[in-house]
Amino acid sequence: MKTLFTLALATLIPAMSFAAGGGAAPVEQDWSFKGITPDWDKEQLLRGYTVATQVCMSCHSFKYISHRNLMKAKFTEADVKALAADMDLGINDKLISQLTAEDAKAVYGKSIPDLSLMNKARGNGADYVFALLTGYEDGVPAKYAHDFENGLPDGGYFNHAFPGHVIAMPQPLNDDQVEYRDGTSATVEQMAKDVTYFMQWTAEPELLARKKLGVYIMLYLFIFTALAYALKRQIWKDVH
Amino acid sequence: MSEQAKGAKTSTNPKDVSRRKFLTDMTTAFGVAGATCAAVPFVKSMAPADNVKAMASTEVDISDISEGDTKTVIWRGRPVFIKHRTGAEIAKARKEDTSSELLDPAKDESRVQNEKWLIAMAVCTHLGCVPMEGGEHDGWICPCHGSQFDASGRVRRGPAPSNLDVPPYEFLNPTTIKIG
Amino acid sequence: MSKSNTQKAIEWFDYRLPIFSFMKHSAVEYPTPKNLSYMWNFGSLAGIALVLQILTGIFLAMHYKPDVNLAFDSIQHIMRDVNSGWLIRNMHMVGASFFFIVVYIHMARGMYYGSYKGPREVLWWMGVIIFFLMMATAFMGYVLPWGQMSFWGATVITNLLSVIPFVGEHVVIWLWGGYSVGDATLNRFFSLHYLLPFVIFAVVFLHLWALHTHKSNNPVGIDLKKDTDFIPFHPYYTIKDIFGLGVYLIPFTFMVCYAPEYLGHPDNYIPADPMVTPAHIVPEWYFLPFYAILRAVPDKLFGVIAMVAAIAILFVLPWLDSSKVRSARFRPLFRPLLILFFANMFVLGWVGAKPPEGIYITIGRLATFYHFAFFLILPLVGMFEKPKPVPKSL
Repeated sequence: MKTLFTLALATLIPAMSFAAGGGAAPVEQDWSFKGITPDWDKEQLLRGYTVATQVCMSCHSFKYISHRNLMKAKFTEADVKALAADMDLGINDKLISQLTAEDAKAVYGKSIPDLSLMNKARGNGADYVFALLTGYEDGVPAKYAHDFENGLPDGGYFNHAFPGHVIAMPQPLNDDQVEYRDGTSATVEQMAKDVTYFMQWTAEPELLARKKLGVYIMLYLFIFTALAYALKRQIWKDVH
Repeated sequence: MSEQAKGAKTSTNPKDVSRRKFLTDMTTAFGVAGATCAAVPFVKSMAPADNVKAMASTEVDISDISEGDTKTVIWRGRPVFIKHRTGAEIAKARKEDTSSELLDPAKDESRVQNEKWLIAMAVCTHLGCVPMEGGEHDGWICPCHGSQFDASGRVRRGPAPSNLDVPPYEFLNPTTIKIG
Repeated sequence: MSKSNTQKAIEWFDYRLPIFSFMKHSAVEYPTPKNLSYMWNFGSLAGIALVLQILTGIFLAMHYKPDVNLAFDSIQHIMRDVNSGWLIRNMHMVGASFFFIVVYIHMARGMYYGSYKGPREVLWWMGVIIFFLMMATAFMGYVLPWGQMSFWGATVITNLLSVIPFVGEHVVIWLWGGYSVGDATLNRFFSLHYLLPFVIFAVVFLHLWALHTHKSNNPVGIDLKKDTDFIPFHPYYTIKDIFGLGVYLIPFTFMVCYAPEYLGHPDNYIPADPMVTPAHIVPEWYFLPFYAILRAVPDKLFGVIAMVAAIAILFVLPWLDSSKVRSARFRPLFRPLLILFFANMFVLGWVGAKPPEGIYITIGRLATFYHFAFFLILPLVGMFEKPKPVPKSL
């Protein structure tokens, strides 16, 4: 039974990821929020915020996010108030796009998803979002020509990462579309990286707290379990 | 079926006894400490959430309250009186600063930032009812048990034990106050 | 030596309500076989997992709103605004999966060592009932966040009831409280999701009552007669269970803090939309084997029957197994068949996660066939098997 059990455990853990997956995985990026003890890079968050508010928010909302939330990610109250004031918002106002749902439907033929949770709502999260933002192509590449003999459907754009390759969102990012406060050159790739990073924060503002707490609990549990094991051995010495 | 369990004999070897006691104490201490820490997030989860705390201040436009009128606004879910006092009310309140009838003596000066405006919680200090305008002191009377308050929000007749609380507030400009 | 005041107080109370004697009898002095392996830890772990689910659930219910317009947002409120809300929710979410892992191991142990055999048949029944209740509770709990998987999972699974002859359609509409999964459904699922764990708790009590009547089975599977074969539950099994709990909490914490979404599905972070079905609906991992059995049968009615029967057949397991020997250790034919049965469960789970097409259909049907065949050949196995010599005592 013991060997059987070990074997079962060894297969169980990967086996349980049955539920996830599907489709070709996007290229894995080296995100700083991965790992056991990450930290938010304030500069990158601010760059991502710039793209999110100046580009994404012309159509998308971040309905679970207000400027106040940034105070949990290294921004001071003064930072947050200044940023909010630039957008004519109070620090408790949610980041809602000016584009109404009805207008969106009229223009794009479908409703526009809220972005707060996007990195959690797609398989491969941030990697997928980054691949999508950098996966646009003018027209259909030769490789896929046979799939689109009549060209792209009306209102459709070619994207490598999007399932089925036809996406209703036009390419959102173009070089130098925003001016970064820190002088970083705003290439499409840079902006995609920054805004995806920002969206990871909007999706999981608790990420740092979660990972930090984990270290403490695990340390505690290792000691407690070791103590319990030593006591168990001691007590069970009496059983013959 | 046996109701006795004699498969083990507790060792009386002093080395075992002391080691066992040490480990039992350590494990118990660690376990109790861990369980206590584990209770913290559960207890904290019932305290006001971030969005509630963020709404802890309210801005009020007071330009539409004419002299002699009172406006009641909601701050943190409870009503607050904003009373635009007349000259006579101010004078009377100040004159009575030393009155022996005050149950909870306080100077009117200490209860207002701008003498024209009294800002006080509309919550009777007895059991939390909302006082109505009236009574014998240019102020309020509580419908629940008849406590009376004057134009400075001071209690003038029991059973309320103390004056109406003054919430923290500031004048952002002459016509706007921020409560909280 | 005079008695301390505490002792006197305890005696005073115990004379009137003998709760201390009861605890002493059933949790301290309670005779337990001394040869139990770590496989026997999973019973108490399951109890702890249940208590943790109830505890975290009670605190989540203080912030959750069972309304189709508010449910999804209220989960985000818990994750973002409520103090430590994310921790409590992750514990509840990961805890559900871990509860199933523990219970599956507990059931497997019972099957391997023949713990379902006389005189423990009713004990086994209570366990099967708990398992059914757990599945209902978990299913309704997964609907509460009101994401795409919540909604479509609820739609697909509740529609299964429409196979009931004559009244099926009416039953489904009655269960929904409307003409589709909607506000009424969500609200009642919340009510039942809160209620059922307490029902489980009550059945666990019966489960333990039956257990304590005839005591634990053991890895050798023989009836123990000598009092030297037993040791008191405390301190021997209390400390062993505490150690087991520590070991359990390590991967649990890891999942809660570093991979809370690993066992979930990204689609459930898209709010429920009755107009759009996700491309690929998969139930939670712990339902996958039974989902595979459902899909393996081409007929709707018989598919549902097969799925329910796949678990309900456990009720008659004590009578299907005709062998007098409990432990698989001494059963050269039963043991490999049982190991194959366990492996087959993994195959079913794997197929359950795949789209129902091509080779997966064939594999799913073969695996479903073996699942039932295993039970149905058990009477013969007992008849033809020649057990290895079973020791008379420990």
